[in-house]
Amino acid sequence: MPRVYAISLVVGLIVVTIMSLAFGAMAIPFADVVRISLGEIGLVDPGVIDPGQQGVLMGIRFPRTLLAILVGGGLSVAGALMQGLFRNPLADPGLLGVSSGAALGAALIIVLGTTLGLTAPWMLPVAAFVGAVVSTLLVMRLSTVGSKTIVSNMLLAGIAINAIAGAGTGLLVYLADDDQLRDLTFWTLGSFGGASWADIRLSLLLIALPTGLALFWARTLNVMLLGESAAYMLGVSIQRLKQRIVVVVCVVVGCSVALSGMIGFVGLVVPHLCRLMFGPDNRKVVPASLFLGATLLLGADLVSRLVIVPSELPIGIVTSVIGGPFFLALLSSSRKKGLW
Amino acid sequence: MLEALNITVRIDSKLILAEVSVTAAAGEVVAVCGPNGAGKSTLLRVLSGELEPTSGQVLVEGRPLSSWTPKALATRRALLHQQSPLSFPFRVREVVELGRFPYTSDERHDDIVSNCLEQVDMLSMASRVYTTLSGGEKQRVQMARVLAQLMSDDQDHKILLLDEPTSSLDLPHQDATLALAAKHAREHNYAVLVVLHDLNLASNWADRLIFLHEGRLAAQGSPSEVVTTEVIRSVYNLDSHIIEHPDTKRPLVLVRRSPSNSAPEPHLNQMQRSE
Repeated sequence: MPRVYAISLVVGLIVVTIMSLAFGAMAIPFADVVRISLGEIGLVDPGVIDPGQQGVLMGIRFPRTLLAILVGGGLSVAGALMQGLFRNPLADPGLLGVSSGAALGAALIIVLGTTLGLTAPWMLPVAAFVGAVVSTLLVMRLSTVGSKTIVSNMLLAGIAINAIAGAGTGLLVYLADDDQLRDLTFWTLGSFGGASWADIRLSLLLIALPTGLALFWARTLNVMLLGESAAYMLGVSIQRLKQRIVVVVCVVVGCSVALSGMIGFVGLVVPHLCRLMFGPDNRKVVPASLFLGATLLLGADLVSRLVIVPSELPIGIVTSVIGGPFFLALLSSSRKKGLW
Repeated sequence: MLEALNITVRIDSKLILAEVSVTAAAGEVVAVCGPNGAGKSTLLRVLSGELEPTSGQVLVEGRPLSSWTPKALATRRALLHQQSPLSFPFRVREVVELGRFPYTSDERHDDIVSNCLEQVDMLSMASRVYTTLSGGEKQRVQMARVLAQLMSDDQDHKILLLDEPTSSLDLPHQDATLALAAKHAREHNYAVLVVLHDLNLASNWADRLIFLHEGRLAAQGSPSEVVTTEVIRSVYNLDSHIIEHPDTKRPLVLVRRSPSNSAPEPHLNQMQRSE
């Protein structure tokens, strides 16, 4: 059965990717999608192509699709890392204060950008990323005693930092005018609408690379589930592992939020789904999260731009509307089996 | 060979261990006993390297703990904790496999895992979900995991630390667990150090007993040397009878009853005896 799941994860991602490239306000036939794509990388002679189709495909659909894949995979692996670190299937990257810090950074630029003269378009993602990093550093600092980071303190410090950042964002919301308020609200709901090739290059560095590194930690994460003390006895360098996990989660989630806004739920739910399919072994859960996260977020993005063509629904609404009830159904059925 | 020299541990200026020196030689079973709060578990944490002592030194094969890499140390010494917080639904076999973490993967892992499960009498439950097991079954699975951690081609110089390995086991499995530890000492030259509350188990299975009392070494020696009414009184503040085990000739401890404190109910009697 796990083999069937594994094959369907890979096939699913390929199918949704092609759909994402083909569907939208301007439909492009599958054959043309494949022909133009392969022609771009010089594999085949594309023959006669419609320049309009080519422009939409290469300029808009490809970056958007790739960004959704990278963000979906990255957020899901980050979630799996957090659940391993906290030995709790309910942990998610938000516990480190990453998202709330990013939101505060973004709100600063949206509301006060004009006043402060920070209006360049790259300011918003940079501020969001800086917000994510600063809040994570604070959480890390507050939960480290001597040379040891205490995971339960991390949880408490995260709650406090989330509250403080939330208050800052709240204040900015209060100060915002109507247009700013609308921008801010849309930002928190997330979107892959503005994706560019520059975003992709940045995410290859800040999402794909750290996520790829984390794939090698799966066996160590399994040992961590025995408890920190037992993991130490088995030769795990606990403190180094904790720092690495926090850095990867912070960079991956910070970059995701900066480029696509707040997309909740994926980091929490996807590793869960993978555990239901493959069991708790992180050597399967972590790579499966990569594929399933990418597929689900790409699918959600597809839905978000197809339901009210030619307009778009914010993706955060789609992930929550579909993910929420689905997750509830899963929980109630797996609780009966005594599994998570 | 495991040596601890003059270990002192202070936590928030409270003295937990004071100048304690213990050794466990290859092939030897050493039991650490003493009342609650005597510092037994702290000593075990220091010996395993998890807790840095305020002063004193721990040597593994004559080398300070700090000079070992975590992985190399993990193939030499293992610690069985009193409890494991594992709450994810792994299969029993997968839990034992985690014990092979210090080794690069090789095809003999499966055999080793089966062998260790066999030793704790859990092979028939290998595909059960760990979180659905009883406390005693979990403890035996963890014992198998710890044995799997130490199993390698070079079976010399292994150190097995056990923190109350029998606390949730039934009578036959209590004996079987200690017999298993003793077997590894006899046949594979393991140095075994085990924290035990049950003095009779300790007396029957250990080559040497160490009594801790308020962080200090109160007595140490062979069972017949230290399991005496005098030592029991000074360490536990308890009056006792010492009798001889008919088979092993080792000393056994019975709590003395005056007519005023003799327990009328059998279950209370049992509870006090197991302390």
